[in-house]
Amino acid sequence: MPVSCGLCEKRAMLKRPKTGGALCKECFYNVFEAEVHQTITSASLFKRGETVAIAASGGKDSTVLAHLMKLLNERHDYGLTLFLLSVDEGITGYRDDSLETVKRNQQQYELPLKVVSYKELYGWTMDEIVRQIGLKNNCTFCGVFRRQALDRGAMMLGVDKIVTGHNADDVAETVIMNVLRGDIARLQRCTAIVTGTEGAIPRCKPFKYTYEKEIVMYAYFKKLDYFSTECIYSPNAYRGHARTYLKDLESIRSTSIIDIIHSGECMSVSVKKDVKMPTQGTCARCGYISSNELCKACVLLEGLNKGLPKLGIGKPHKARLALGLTNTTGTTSTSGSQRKEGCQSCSCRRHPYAVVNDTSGCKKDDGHSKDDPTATDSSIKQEELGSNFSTVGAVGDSAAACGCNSEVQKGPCASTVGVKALCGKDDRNTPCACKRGEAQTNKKALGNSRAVPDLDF
Amino acid sequence: MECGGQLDDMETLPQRPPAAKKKNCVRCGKDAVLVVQTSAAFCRECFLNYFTHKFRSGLGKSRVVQPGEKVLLAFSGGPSSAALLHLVKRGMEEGTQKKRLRIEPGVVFIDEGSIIQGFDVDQRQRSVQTISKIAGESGFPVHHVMLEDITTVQATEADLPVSNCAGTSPATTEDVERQVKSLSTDDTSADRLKRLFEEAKSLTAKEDLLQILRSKLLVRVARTHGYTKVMVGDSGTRLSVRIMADIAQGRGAALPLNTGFADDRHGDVVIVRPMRDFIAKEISMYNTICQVESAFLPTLTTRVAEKASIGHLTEAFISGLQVNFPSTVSTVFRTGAKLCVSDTENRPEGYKRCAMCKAPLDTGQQGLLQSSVYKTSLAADDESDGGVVTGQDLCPSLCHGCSLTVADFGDFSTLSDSDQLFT
Repeated sequence: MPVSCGLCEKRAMLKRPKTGGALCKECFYNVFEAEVHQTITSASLFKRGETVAIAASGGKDSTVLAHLMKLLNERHDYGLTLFLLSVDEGITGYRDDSLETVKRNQQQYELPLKVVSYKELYGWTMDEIVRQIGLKNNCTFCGVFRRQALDRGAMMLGVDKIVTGHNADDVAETVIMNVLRGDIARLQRCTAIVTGTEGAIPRCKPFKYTYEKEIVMYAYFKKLDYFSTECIYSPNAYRGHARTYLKDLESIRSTSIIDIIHSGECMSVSVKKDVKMPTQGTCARCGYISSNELCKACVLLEGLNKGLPKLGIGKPHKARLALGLTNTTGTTSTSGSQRKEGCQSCSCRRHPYAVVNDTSGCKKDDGHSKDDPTATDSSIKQEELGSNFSTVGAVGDSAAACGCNSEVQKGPCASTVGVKALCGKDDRNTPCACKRGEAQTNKKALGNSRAVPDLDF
Repeated sequence: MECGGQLDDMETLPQRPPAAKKKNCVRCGKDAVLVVQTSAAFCRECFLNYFTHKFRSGLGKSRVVQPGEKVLLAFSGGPSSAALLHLVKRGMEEGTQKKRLRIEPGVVFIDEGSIIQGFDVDQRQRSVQTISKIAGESGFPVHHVMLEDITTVQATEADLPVSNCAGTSPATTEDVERQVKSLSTDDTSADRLKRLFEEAKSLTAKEDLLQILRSKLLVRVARTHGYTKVMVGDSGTRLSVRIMADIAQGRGAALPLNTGFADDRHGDVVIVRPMRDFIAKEISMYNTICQVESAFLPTLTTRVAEKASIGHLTEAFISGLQVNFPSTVSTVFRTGAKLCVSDTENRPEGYKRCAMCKAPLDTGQQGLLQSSVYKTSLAADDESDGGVVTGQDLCPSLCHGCSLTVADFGDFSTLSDSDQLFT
């Protein structure tokens, strides 16, 4: 028995996952577009005369978003000037194909396109980053860099707003992730339909209440051109748990996604007032928004440039020490303190050279080129020993720092008194280097002794 | 889907080397018999001290229960409420006079045999006897009520069967006979409530309604017998599952009341959750060491598939994550503990509550969501002219979660006829 459309008398083509109602194709178009328009007008996302950048990646969400923004802008006369903004991460075989899709969308929708790439902003492509860090934590780099790249691209274009294609499934997944990770600050703001209103360019999510399945249906029926391959570098283990749970919830009750978003909105106003929240500020180095002294992108970039790719991952105080942000005076009785002193001295010693001598820049480059084989060696060690012995990798990082130290020692002494004082510090630190080598040897032996039982299994 | 780029901190934690075969107690250095949290090893005496101290400091820190108050302990036969009874009994007996727990406790058991478990009279009699024996060992007065009592009017509450078990003797034959006699007289309300549960479209709605009815019945028994506090034995693991399940059912606004230490939505009677700082594993260890007896009564989700209801799926999800990430329960629980009811400041002026669960109404704040979702929902309802007339009439006075629950029940007249439920 054929099912009729709930709104007119034609034969139904689909069943909406959001409400369970049966609709024909034209009614589905009308309901879908009317709901997005309702979301835009209820939240007052745009004003007349504004310039809006559409974050386009070539996928289904951004393609439908670009199509719908152009359609609603013409139909309801928002009075907006629209741009397409893309980020080129530099992933071979994936991003270049999706950017081709965005260029075709540019021609179909007649919107100007701006592409910013990781290579031109940060000097590293995602392929190079994965070669440094491996497949385990590269999503952290990509997410941090892309978020800042969108902001910087929007500043280049001089737009007033950015729209992203985050749909209801993404927002609900983020709510679940923030509850599981105990991140009360992000839980407070992850359901807002406009974020970044203080200081940065605001970001809007017109698809906040739109289901992912309906976006796919709309793109399919409208025959929109979109790219659907997943990223080749994304393991995404922990988020996969939340996504599996969310899909199971949707199979039990189809309104669960909207219910989770509703709960997230209620919880965002229910946080106790005595809970400590991070404060917003600007980065001391690049000037963009950050809640620490240095923003995450600068910390990760510094780690990449120094040959310490794990600098920004894990405990933040290690990154702070390595960057020389705090002066720690530790006793020399423990090897841990000695290690910290070594790293700190190395970092401190570089800056005065850079300031005093022009030739110290050349030395810095030499140190950088020397660090690369050490980092490669460290990653090879990690692959051999597996994740059980990541501390050995940390020791390798210390060895890299030790290499920097010896490199500076070999440099010629300048004639100024200040530099001589620094040379004096070198003499004091030489025994520490010997002890670090011994500690490294001991840990290597321990690693080897642990690896042998694995071979027996 | 693009790669998420989230900080996978838990993935980067180095895996620990295999632990030594023997561990020492972190307190006294003797041989440890069990490990709690992720690394703390305890011997028997130190674990008991740790457990008891945590329970007492939780009560003392919140200052919800005053000395001399009448406290009703909700007992379901499970391990957590059995541990609660045992802790209260030990708190009243052990220690110096100044340190003793000075409350006037009573025990209540809600018999859901005919509605939930599908028991006949003999099975109900056996379960009531088992519960009476376990609860009677505490020496506190025991009140037996039935779930279908929620549909009776207020006037007959004085006739609810009450049995006082003195000392360690089990319930007398006379009390059990009185209980069985009252079973037959209330067949009408039992049948109506049973039919209501059988006609529900989803197990999620059944679980939600059962939770609401339990809370209402506990508050009613407490009011009848003059108790000002009700202690329930919800553990931290249970509350973490409830936090996630409530979020998935749209009850974000009621989360602080459903999972907080004190639930004061009913005014004069406050529901207290003193067991919320313990995970289920610790409670099992305590019951094993102290030989606390508990009884098993099947629930709505016993022996059903994992995806049968939102609560059951969430329980499997949290338990599965807890195996690989041992801090899942405490992290989720602490996230919920940072929330509070946001309407407390506006309470005197037009404080609206849900007619069903008495949580603050969340429909006014989020007009955006309502206009987006219910616009098409009401359009669909106009087409179908469905049998949700009763539920639709109640929608303006229900919160979001209760609206979803009511929509899954076909005929709500059984409960709505009695004005007790929606006062």
